[in-house]
Amino acid sequence: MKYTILLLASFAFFTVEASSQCRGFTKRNCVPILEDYLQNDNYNAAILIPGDEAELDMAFYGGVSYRIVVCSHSILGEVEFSLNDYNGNALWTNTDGEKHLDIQVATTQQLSVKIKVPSNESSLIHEGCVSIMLGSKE
Amino acid sequence: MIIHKQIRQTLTFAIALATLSVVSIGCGESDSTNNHDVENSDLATSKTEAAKRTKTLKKIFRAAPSPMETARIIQKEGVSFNPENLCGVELASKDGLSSDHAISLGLLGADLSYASIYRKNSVALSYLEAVKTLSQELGVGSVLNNELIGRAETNRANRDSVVMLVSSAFYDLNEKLKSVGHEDLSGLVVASGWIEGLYLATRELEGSSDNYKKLIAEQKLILVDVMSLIESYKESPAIEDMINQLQPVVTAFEGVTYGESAEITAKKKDGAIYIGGGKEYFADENTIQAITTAITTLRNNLVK
Repeated sequence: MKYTILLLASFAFFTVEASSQCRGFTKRNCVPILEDYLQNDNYNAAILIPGDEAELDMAFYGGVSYRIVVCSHSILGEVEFSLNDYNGNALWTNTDGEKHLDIQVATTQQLSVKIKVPSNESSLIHEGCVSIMLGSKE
Repeated sequence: MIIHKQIRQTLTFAIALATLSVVSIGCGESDSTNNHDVENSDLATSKTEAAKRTKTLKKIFRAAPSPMETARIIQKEGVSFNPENLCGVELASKDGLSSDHAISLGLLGADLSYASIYRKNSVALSYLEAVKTLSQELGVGSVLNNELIGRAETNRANRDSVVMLVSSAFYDLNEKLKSVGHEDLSGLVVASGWIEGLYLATRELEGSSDNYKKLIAEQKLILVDVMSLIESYKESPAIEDMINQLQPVVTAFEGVTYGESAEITAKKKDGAIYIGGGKEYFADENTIQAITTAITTLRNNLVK
């Protein structure tokens, strides 16, 4: 019984450890990309594997400049991200491997940021941190 | 029999030890804070861990504009600042459950954001202290440490520095609450922050411009974000309660209408994407009054 508990505890430890390292990764690698944009106060980061997708939907104020940062661990390869309108139509995609996008919207509206981690045929699947950060400025 | 049991126990222990001995996963750490690209050299040489799952998923993140963003666009409309509209800082000292403290943190955090944007620095600093007290009650006091408070005091005359510090602190609070398994409390902070922001925005409606009323109407979209965010944590009784309390506000916003939607366009200019088109939101006087009444009732109930 005590060995089973130890095994379960070790997996719990790794879940917390993964979360902790994702926070550290975001702080060191993603926050600086915002530069002088004011950081939105929502933390959006997760451990993903090849083939995973992620999506963030949010209202963007008209007349405000935004920076959208999608930051990911290099082990996941070139993560694709796109900006879509409220109907799901793609407005922009990071075809050149960009890690951030600056936007301004004419009228306040819902937009969504969609992310796809490229699939991997390798038998060994690595996981890595993916973080979406939003910043705004006048 | 005893030998089989011993072998099984040893194997279980060995698996646990092997798991614990695997090094950090593929998040790595970078020494550079100025390089826009992820530091590949450290990560390439660091050991990475095999994924603990093989089935792919779709992760849905939820977010809403922060009170600081809302305060900034409202200030741009020329709306004046009235300190009497803010919650009293004594709200931070009230006894209550963690959910009550989280709600108070959102309310006072929004007040702090407004005071910061309006350059009311001494007011902002007193609210920063109140927010620090609440973050300690919630077990995330390490975020608003003395060093951060000291920096805010040193830079009190510099609005941009104070605004950046406060925004960064609230991001860290949100992150910390989620990391310790209190996503529901982070949701309450976001919801109550929005409530206080809208409450403050509706204090100065007399003689306001059509554009300002449009801003109020557009809060319908932000409310969608807030509801979506908190509904993802609705197993929590406090969240369930907040959802119920927000229903009159949701009902009031049903009076918001929009004109014909212009086609959404995206044009690249000067390195940025300009997104045109979309819907223009509108609220008549009755709807504005209904929203004002609903948000005032809710906010005053939260402050009691």
